[in-house]
Amino acid sequence: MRTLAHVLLLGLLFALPAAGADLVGGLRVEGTRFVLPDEEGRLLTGGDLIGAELDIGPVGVIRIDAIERDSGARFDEVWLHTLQLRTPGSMVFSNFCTPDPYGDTRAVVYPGYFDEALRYVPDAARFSFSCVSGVEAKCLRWGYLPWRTAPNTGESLAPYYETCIRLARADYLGDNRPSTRDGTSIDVYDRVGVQQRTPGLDMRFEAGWNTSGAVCVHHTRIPANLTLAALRARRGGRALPGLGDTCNEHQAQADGALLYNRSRG
Amino acid sequence: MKTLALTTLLLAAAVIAPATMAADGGPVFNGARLNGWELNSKNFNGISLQGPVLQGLTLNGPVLQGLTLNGPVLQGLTLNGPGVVFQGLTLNGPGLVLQGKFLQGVHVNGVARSHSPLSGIALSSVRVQLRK
Repeated sequence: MRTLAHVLLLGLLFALPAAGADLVGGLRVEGTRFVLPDEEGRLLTGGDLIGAELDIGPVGVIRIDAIERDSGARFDEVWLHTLQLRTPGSMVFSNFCTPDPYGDTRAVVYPGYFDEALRYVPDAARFSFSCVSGVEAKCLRWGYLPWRTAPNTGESLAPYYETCIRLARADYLGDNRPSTRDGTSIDVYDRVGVQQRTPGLDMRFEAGWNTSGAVCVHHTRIPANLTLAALRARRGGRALPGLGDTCNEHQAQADGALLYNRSRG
Repeated sequence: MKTLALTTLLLAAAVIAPATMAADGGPVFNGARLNGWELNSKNFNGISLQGPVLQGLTLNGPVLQGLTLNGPVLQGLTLNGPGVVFQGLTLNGPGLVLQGKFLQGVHVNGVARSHSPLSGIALSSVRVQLRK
């Protein structure tokens, strides 16, 4: 009986929320951080929210275990969240994200979302999570923050963020058919002051990009996944000005590229 | 009893309870993270299942070759039908049902990893519990 009582007590402890915990609303996302007003009107953010549990209904409960500024991000305003997920009916939390090639399971939160056509929707009433293994997080960390303006030109970076998604996934035709492989290194750069070419890399010009995909392609990133000939066949009647040696950075710029990349290919 | 090539299943081992065998010979994984899964196939070669949260899924082969399922949250997914070939399939997303023959090379929601596992969440739907 004593053992049974212990089991019942243990079950009760698991079933109840922690003593003194509050359920509050008013959550919002500013940049890559949650902001939450407390009962006294103070704004909680960053480390204030460590340990907070976000109840997202049928998805489950997400617990924030750690929040830290991303020291590797292009701009000093990206925060990385260590998250745990507990699904409905379970009492066990586990990593929200699958690890990237370096074992990193942190995530970035950002306002808005991508629609089915992979267009970024800056909806302040909604937010999304992207694990660091994901292109949405990568592009934010590279500096293509859609709510920011470009250092050199002052133009919005929103189209650059959409373009970065196409580029990072090697979605040449912008038809949501990525051809890259997890863990593949590329060199991303632009002409608006966010990313520059990285010297000393054994890479060559791959493609120029805009929000619709590649404006021209010198070579495909992972030929085992997609060859230039297969891309040519896939393109059908759609316009894609240059494939192969006719595509270079100068041509891509003339064709309206926002971003450029190099790869080993 | 059929024997599955479990070495080809890249399961998130820490969150999977020991597998038991279903009456029809297929494996049923019952655990905190794979609760409700049923996998029946003669050929699981190349399948990759990565949690967390691969819940409520049923896979019926034969031939589920090249299939990749990446969590988090692939809840309520159903793949059905004898003779169905799910070769080269990549699935990311909840609530999907695929039924048919020769669904070869189909990609649903892009690449073989759920990069934005939760997208477009309404802030008004989130309740926050603070730790004191």
